[in-house]
Amino acid sequence: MSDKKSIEHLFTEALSKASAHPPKGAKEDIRKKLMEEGLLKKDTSSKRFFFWLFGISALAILSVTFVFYMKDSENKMQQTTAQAQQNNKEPVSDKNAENNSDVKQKDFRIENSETPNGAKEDHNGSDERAKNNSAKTEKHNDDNKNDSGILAKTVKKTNDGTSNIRGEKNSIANGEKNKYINQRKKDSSINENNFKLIVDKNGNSETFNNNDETKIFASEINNNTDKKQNQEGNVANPSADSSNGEANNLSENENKHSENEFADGIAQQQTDTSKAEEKKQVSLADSVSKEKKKNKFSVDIFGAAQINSFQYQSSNADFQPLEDESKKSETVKTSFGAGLGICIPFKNFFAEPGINYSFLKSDFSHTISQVNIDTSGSHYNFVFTQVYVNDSNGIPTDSFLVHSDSTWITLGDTSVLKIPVNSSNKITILEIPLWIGYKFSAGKFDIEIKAGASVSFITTVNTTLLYPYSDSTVVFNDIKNSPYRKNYFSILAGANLLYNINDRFSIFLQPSFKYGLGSIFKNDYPISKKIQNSSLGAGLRINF
Amino acid sequence: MQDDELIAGCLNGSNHHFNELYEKYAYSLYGICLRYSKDKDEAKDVLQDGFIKVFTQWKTFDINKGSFEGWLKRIFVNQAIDCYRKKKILLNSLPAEDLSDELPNDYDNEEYEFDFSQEELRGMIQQLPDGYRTVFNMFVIENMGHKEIASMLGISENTSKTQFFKSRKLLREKINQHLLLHQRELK
Repeated sequence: MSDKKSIEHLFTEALSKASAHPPKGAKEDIRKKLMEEGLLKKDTSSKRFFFWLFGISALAILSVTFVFYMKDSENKMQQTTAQAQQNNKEPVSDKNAENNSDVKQKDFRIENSETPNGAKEDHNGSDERAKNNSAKTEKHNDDNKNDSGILAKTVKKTNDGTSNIRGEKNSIANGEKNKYINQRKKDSSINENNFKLIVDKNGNSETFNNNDETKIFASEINNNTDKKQNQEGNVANPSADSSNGEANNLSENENKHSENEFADGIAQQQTDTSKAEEKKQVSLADSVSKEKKKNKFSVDIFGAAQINSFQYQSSNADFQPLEDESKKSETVKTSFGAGLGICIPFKNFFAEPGINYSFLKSDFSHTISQVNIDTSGSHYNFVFTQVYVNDSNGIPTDSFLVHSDSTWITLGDTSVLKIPVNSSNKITILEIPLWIGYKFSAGKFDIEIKAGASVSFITTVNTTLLYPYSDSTVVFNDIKNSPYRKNYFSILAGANLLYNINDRFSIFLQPSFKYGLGSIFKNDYPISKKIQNSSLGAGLRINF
Repeated sequence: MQDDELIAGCLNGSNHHFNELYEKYAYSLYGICLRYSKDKDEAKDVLQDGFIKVFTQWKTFDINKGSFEGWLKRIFVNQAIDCYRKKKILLNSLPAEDLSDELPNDYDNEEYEFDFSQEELRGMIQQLPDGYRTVFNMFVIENMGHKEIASMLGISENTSKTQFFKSRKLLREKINQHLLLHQRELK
């Protein structure tokens, strides 16, 4: 049984040295407050940790993307090598396989198979010669047919815009070309290797390379035409020309006509084929670029500077002064944020969910008017009555005071103190946006226009607000016991201006605007506060 | 870590020394804050304000004139009293008072044998009105005189006395209630 204790003793003994465990978060709140007041140095250890974490994460992301990039490059190289090997296996035996005019020549030969056919026996020639000629023509036609058959097959087989067609055509065309060259060899000094034309129609020597076959043959035709004109007399006597090869056995007019057609045809074909080649290259480039642009998804990493504005509104006229004072007391500051987005393309459209982390900063400044009442002058006003005890003669024999009444007199000396309250308000927000947009491409640059909506979660608050019901301020360090909502919705509008460094990486600038749809205060708070936000971000896009 | 080392580190704004200071003294200082506050939230605010005051008044402490812990406790008591004074003015209320030069007729010097826990006694004090609680703490636990209490709280000495007696009466009633409850539990 313990000793008996008075109340004073009981409480003194128990509580004078009593201790208790402070609540969770009290230490950090005190530390933050001391740092804000400048009484403690900023804690760089946590900042260092986050810098390390950020650095390691960035390094990890870059390493992964570099590995993907190298793998992608290897795959492309392997594909290119495989294609090249496949091309080499095709029957492209001639070293001039890439020569466009060979193709044109062959095409022309097929289309203008009438050229040998068009030869009419209108000159005085022997039937035998005419027969030989038509036989050769037929043979030529047959050859053409065969070749066209082969060509047709070739076209059918490899009609995919690759150079295989050209290779095969060229091989066939070269064969025909060689035939023609051999036929014409006696007329002009054509070197079948380099087509060096010694003598042109004017008697000047010129050198043509492989790409100028049109000129060569046109020139040669002109030469032949001239010769034919000079040899008019020989038209009726074709035997005189027999030493020039059988092609000279054609009649003069038809020969001239066919040769002119041939020259024109080659010129036309060269133009057509060059256009066709250009188209092929363009389509190849397009297909390659389309292959390039067919990314599965992209990851955006960015940071942004934000300028916020607050929109206050009171719930009724009673709180209008609170609304006015709230607007005056808070000054927004530039804030910062960072985010991550995953861009999922669909043709030229895209969807981009993401996650952003940012904080809103503002300065709070208010002056409290504090009324100080000094009541030290208050006192009791006692009223006493003197009672006298008299004897029978009315002479007082005794007297005493009797307390009859007392009145408390309250005296208050009033003074007004002005107490400034200054603090820095900070709210951290975790936002989950969803963008939908459209992409325009212009060479190395892309422009994306986008809009969307987001839900923002207020994660921490450290703010000073005006107390709604009197001229004072209240500090909130815990969102639970504060008038702030846990989340709010916003609508978004923005754009991306991208510069594509290569297939894998792009850098971009991102201006955007966010309009808060609801108040960040709870419904029971007498004023509402909406947030608008303009930001400019810059970042890196990684394509996968 | 020695107190002088702690003080020197905190003067330099060292986070590490703040951690040490907090771990060493926060528990006892929070006990003081709880005694003067009506709930834990208020006590936490007093604790925070108290530490800020400590960091702004380092220069007023002279290690030769007293213990560091005593100095800390004094600051926190003063901070708790300041909080009460601000609240009193903010709410623009004065405690209802019934003053008399004499002790109330029902004053007694009852003694108790029962051992109450710290939490129970603290809880009883927290249930008192703000003014009664403050005066009771200052008079009984801090051992201040009514004159000193009056000057600190901005009240008269009579007010201080009356508030003390009223607080005592209320606490006595609460103790009796606790004893009754305890007896019922035993039965």
